[in-house]
Amino acid sequence: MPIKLEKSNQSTAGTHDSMWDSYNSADYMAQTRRGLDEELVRFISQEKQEPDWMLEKRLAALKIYHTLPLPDWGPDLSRLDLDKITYYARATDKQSQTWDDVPSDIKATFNKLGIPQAEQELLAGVGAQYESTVIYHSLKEQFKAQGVVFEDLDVALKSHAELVRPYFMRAVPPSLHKFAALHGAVWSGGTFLYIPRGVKVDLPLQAYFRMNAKGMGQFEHTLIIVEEEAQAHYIEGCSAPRYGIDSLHAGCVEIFVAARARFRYSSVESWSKDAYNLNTKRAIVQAEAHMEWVGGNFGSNVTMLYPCSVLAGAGATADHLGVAFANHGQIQDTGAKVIHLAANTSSNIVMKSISKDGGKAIYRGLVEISPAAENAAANIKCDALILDSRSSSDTIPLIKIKNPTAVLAHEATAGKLNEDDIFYLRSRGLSEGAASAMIVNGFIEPIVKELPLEYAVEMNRMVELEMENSVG
Amino acid sequence: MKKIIIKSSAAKIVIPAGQKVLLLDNIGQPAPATPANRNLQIIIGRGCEIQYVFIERATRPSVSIEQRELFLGANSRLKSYRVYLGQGTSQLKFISHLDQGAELDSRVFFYQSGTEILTAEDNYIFEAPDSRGRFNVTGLLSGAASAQYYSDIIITPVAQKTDSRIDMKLYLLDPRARGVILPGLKIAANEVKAGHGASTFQLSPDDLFYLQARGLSKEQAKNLVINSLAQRFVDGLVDQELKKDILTQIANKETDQSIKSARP
Amino acid sequence: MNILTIKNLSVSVAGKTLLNKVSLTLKKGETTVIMGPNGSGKSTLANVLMGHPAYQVEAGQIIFNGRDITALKPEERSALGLFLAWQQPREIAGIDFYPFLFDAHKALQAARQKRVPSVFSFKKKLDQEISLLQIKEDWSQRYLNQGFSGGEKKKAEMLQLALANPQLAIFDEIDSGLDVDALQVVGQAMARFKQGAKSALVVTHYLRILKYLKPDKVMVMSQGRLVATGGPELAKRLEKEGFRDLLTNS
Repeated sequence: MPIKLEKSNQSTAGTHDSMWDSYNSADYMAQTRRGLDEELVRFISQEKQEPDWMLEKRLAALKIYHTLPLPDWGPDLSRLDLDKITYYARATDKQSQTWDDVPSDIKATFNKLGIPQAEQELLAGVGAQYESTVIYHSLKEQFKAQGVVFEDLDVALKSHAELVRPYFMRAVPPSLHKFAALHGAVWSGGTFLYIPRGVKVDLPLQAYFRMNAKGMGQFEHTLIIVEEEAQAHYIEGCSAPRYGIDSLHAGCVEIFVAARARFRYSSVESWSKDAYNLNTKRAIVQAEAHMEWVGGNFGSNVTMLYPCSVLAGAGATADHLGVAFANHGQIQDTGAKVIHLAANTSSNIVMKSISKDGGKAIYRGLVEISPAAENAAANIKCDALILDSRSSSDTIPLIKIKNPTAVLAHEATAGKLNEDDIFYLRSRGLSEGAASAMIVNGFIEPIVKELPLEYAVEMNRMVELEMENSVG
Repeated sequence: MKKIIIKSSAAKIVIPAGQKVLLLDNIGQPAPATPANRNLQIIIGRGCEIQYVFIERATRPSVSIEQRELFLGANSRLKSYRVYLGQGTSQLKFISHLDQGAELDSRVFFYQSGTEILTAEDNYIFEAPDSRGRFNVTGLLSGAASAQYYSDIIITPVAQKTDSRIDMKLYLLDPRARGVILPGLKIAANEVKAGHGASTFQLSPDDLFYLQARGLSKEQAKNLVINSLAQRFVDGLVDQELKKDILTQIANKETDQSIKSARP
Repeated sequence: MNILTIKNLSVSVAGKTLLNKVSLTLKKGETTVIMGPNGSGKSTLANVLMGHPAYQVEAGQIIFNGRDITALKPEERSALGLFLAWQQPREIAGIDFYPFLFDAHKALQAARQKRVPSVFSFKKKLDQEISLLQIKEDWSQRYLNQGFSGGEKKKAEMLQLALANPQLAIFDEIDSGLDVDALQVVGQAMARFKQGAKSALVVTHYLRILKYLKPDKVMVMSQGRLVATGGPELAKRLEKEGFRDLLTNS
């Protein structure tokens, strides 16, 4: 009896093909060029002057893409017409969009969050280059000395092919699902991060440290390799709303955590336009290593995001901490997946969701204890705050146990803000809005406290803005 | 309490308002030659107090597909005991609708062994305000048995001020057993108390050692656990005969494990 | 001059009447004690004065400092100078205690159109009050009221009182659950508060707290009504004789 998960309704997602200028090279990139076929894939690879092995991987992924159907579960993707999407544009062409094109409500939000102009431009996809020059240059020197590689993936696949090639799309193989295959065929841009054995990088590495970073692209690929006993923290994104002109994001993040290493991946995302945010993020964790996912999901029309940890080595551990805020017209379909493959592995999932003004928050989780995972331990805690009677929350935790020694506990609660709590805070002088925002921030505090301070502050401010943001 | 034994031919049972009834389902029925495939609706009138007992016993045929749809009228109270001891492949679906002020205390105990396969689905739909539900599923799997148990609490937008909770406990007795559980929550009203828990259960090495040091073998220790889980399950059942019957069947299943493979 | 006048106040919750035509006046600078058995409506009165949204005001008025506050929101009453020390202070997860104190203080200062202090000057004032309340433990890592013992919760309420600097403080069973030492600290804090010509409304079951506060007026409530009013001698009589006599005579 297969499980029937509902399809949800959501508002329109359009493509924005009128934004693309014509290209003065081959007819491939004429304005009318849409859809996906072998010619386009070859063109992409050629444009980037990629080595043959990468072209082969792309073509193999394309073959798989054509054989796979759209997923039959989760939010309704029927309006996503994959043949109408433009799959590639050269990086420089994105600059055709000007600051004036950015809607005023986006600009207002940026101002409210106190984001500097240059950063605002980057987030809106209009900045040519964002250079935090001083920081970046000194980092570059330090990295060179340590052997850390932090580079555009386009560049790294040539300069560090011996590192990229064996790992590329091994954590997220094209056969995983249709969007992984799509990604494998048309991926473009992204980050490569390599931490050599025993190196501990204290400073959280942020995407925009890199020269020429242009913010999250449509099909960006992040490949992170953390060697034995190494340690690092990578932050993708920022909690300010991202104004993307792309309607589909099918990016990919692959993280390989070698034995006894520790890695944290933090990502706070907020997409402000109608967009399908369908990224695949997966980490393979080896013996005694530790992986942490810390995430916040705001905004966007439809987000589907289930970071996955594969605990492949004995004693591997993973923590998944996440916050999802679904406001009016939004569907946050997020969660966590942990697959225990080896003995003495343990995992901890803490998910908090908030839905408001008709928003819908969905937690979709999977914890699987496979036969070889002796004495595995898994703990899951999901709490949902449903702020008003128009909003809803679903919790769909799939638990698969194939080993009798597993110790697993899953606990979930749902409800609204406590009236007495609000009254208490108001009786101390806070307005109802401020009191509610304070309680909601308190609700998500276990996750927020794991973020670096400036992100934590921004996340709290995002919550306050979302709380203020009512439908008229 | 009035006792009603549901006939195997029944498609719909209606209990008028204000009744106190013990409803027996699937009890003492001779095993039909062909696999059963039944859809039964049970309509419970307002203010009723019902105990409902459903037993899928080990003598049932090898493929069993059953569906029950229960409608709890306003302010009715239902205590439901379901025991799944099927031999072979079972697909059991239970849908419960709760009207205003209704209370449902539902317990399920399943025990699969050998190569038995259970696929179960429970939907608890809260359709009106002020209703309450406590749902418990305790499952034991031994040998190479497998079970897939999906449970959904569905709270519709009008079902404000409802209070519901589901707890699922899975006990794997052997390394080849497989269990998949999904305690789902689909909530569209905000003034509610809703929660769920799911956990695995096992005897810790220390617990086992303690029992063994008191003279019990590992098998006996496991059976001790199974019997205490069974006792907890039947607690509150009005009919003492029925209680004994259920406990006996569970105990039989424990001892029958080794000879199970010899059955046709 | 009256700091508080309640005129014929009737209040209900879910159709049930909890306060029945309650009228009373409190003079500015005085201490009024309200006593009564459980269920008499004393705590309801305290909550209604502060504007708890769950209660329905069926009739009557609440006049605070000459202003009708019957329809005002809790934060507005707080800004006007009303403070309620809760019987069971709310434990709210994830809210850091000191940052909360600062935020509430800033909100009140702004509402009262006073200068909003810097975090440094606030910290100084906070440290001052902490030492006056003899709070020896480090509360800087705690969340709002979580992990606080009964006595600590009441001290935390007194801390918030000191920072809010109200005109009229309502104490809802502040003395419940306190041991002798904590009671002394809290009592002394209440006395300190009163020194600034402030008014206090003390809802209590016991009379221990009166060791630190001299009541100017004593009122007795029963079943949602005010049934007796008197001076300090009424309190002494109740201590000796209990409520029964008084209530059967009313």
